Amino acid sequence: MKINTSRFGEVEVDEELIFNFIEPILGYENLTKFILLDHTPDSPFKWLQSAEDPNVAFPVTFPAFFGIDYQFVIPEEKAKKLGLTNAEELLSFNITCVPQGNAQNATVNLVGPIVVNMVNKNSMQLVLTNVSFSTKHKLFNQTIPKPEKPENVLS
Amino acid sequence: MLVLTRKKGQKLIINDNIEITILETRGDNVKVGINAPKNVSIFREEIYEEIKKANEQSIKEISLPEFNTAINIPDSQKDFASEYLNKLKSISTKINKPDDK
Repeated sequence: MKINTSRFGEVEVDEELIFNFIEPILGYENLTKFILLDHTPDSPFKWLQSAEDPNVAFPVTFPAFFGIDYQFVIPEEKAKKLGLTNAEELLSFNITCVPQGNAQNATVNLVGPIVVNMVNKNSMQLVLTNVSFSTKHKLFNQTIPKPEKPENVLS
Repeated sequence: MLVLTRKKGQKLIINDNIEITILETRGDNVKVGINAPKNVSIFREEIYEEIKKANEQSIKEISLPEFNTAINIPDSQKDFASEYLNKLKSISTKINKPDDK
């Protein structure tokens, strides 16, 4: 089927690859169908694009790519709801925030991971409680050298 | 909104299976105990609001050029990539970029 997106135009999607959010992405309760868009192959970033609202697309990533020590436990009842029978079926990723004009200060939300059952595509945004994670964990450690200020600035 | 007044130690029952007890009050603080089935999600409103805000900000901030800049920051651990990326590729949808046509 075809899906409209505001960033990438019309995208042809295999219906098997549409995620079904059985619990919502917080703030987007009316949207339940999403796809993972492969923007650049081999990139640690993807887009979680709504199949229902062309304007809604979250940049997402995988903390492990950035050397972030990240593990969480899926509550038993949530795993049951997702229909998970083993860990191999699980895919998880996190929503990032890339500030305009300041990509090196990109952050990732570690408190509300998106979890997907790869077999039946049931998905949800978990809310992790009793964890010390941040909703704004910095993605990039290295500092990018800034261009030097012009020296002859009159004050 | 239903408003009820309770004393310390008194309870509220919701839907036969959720029990809320006022355990303690001290100044502005109220300590509440909740007994509920495991499938009932309970969290402090702040956590919920914080995630909601992060979600909304993610969409508000992102632009394609910025996204491309982030992709090109060479800080990710490429050696981790292959196995997980293959798993990912199996579930991702490819974009036909205009310049590929």
